[in-house]
Amino acid sequence: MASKIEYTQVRKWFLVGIAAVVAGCATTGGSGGGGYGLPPIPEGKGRLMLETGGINEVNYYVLDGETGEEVHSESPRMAASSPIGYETGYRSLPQFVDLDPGRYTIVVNTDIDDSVEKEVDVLMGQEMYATIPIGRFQVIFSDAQGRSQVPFLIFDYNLRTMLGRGMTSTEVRYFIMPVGEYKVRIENSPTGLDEIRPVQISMGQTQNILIGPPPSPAQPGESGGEGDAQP
Amino acid sequence: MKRKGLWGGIALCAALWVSASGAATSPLKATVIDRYGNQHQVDKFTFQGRQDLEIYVQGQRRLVELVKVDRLRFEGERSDEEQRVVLVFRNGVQEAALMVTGGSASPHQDAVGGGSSGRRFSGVTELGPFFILASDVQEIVLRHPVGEKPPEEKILKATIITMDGRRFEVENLRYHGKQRLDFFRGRNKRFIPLDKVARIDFEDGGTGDEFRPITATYWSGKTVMGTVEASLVRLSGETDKSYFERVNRAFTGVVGSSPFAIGMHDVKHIRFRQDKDEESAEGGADDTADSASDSADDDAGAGDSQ
Repeated sequence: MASKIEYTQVRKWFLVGIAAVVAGCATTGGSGGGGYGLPPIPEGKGRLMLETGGINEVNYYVLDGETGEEVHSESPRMAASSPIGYETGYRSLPQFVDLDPGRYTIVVNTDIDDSVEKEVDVLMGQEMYATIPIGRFQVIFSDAQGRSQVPFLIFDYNLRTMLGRGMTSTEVRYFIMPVGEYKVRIENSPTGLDEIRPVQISMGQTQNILIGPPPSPAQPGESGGEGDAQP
Repeated sequence: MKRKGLWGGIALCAALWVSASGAATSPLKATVIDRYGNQHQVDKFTFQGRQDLEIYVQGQRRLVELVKVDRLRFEGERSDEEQRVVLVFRNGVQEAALMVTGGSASPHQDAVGGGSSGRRFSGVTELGPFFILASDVQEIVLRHPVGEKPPEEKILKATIITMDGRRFEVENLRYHGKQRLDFFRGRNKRFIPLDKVARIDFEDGGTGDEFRPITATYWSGKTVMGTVEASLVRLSGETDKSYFERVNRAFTGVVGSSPFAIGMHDVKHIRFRQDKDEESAEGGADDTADSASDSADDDAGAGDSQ
């Protein structure tokens, strides 16, 4: 009799253990989580997704349309002028937030003074896509030692107004701006460098600006001549 | 049974309509008139994919939302890189400005994947996707929904008190061309809509500090604290003009009939006036009086010199 009770208890604990393992495997993570795909929309809420032309990491916040209060914010990116900023890696899912139904204003901060704003209506149980007209560019500065960190300024197209500043990186680093045309200026007085480059920001496209070292002196055995023109 | 199916179909159509209307990228409609006089009826109207225009009013950059514009007329030649434009707003105000339209400029060779000038208006017509270079446009008439009120554009009136105690009565106050003040809360950038604020107090930053703490009090009583950029350091690559504008023209407006500008480092306090308070403000202007001796003559002269 005693052995039967013991057997029943062991079986019960064994089944509880299996159930716990199965439940643990089936649990999905949160919005930042480690699950596959997007989690389901919570009951009574709608989902606002950011359509940013392939840029899956932006600093943004959401304001309530009626009260103007901030209801959500995410700031995964470092400031453009920070020397430690770089692309942290691949992110497969677009940014999203689950909100109560209603009207909201979404504000996406870029790496210049101009932000991008969009008014959206969130409907219960539905995914709403907010298309944010932003694009990105990269400044790659190389000197004799290779890629290096140099500060630069971002101007409007006719160089009237300074809109922001940035810092090149030895890693991959993109700068996010509203679509449009701008100019980038790197001035380094000690070396006499002064480069002004136009930047055309289009949604979903990337521009790489290469600023290289001066032409290297001709090696023995090589034909002397002008170095390659910089792009 | 049939009736159930009918109701189901209606519900499905309604759901599709709601989702489609929500997914629209731009609600703007416009009539675009090109330089040959052809008219194009365009829906989902945007400029460079955006619903605003970058213009220069008296040399200051300003972003104008298309939803506030009634019509836009280009007064330059097709080959001009920058054209004079006349904007007529929905509230009847007319403003002349400069706008970069590109002219014959071509994209830079560094642009990856971009094969054409970005300065173009685009949208959808009955015949399909539509785009036109800004340099080919003569006039644009925005078609807003009948009966829809235009967004309010308040003319902000404020009293600015400087660090050395001078006082200015400023109209049409703007921060870098905008009616909002950008500030930082920690490392997060936020904005304060100036039309909803009663007063902003600027704390003293140390000499050479790049940021100044502020406290903004809304008309509703809400208080917001943060920091604003007030750097006097000249950055490598900045031109004389852009440096001067950044440092000395953070706030702009009009004092009397003269232009007014002041730098962020020089402001101590801003108190806004609501329209209904105007009369009482005129009568009771003496009570603040910390620098009432600086009268309008002084203001106008000093305003230009900021």
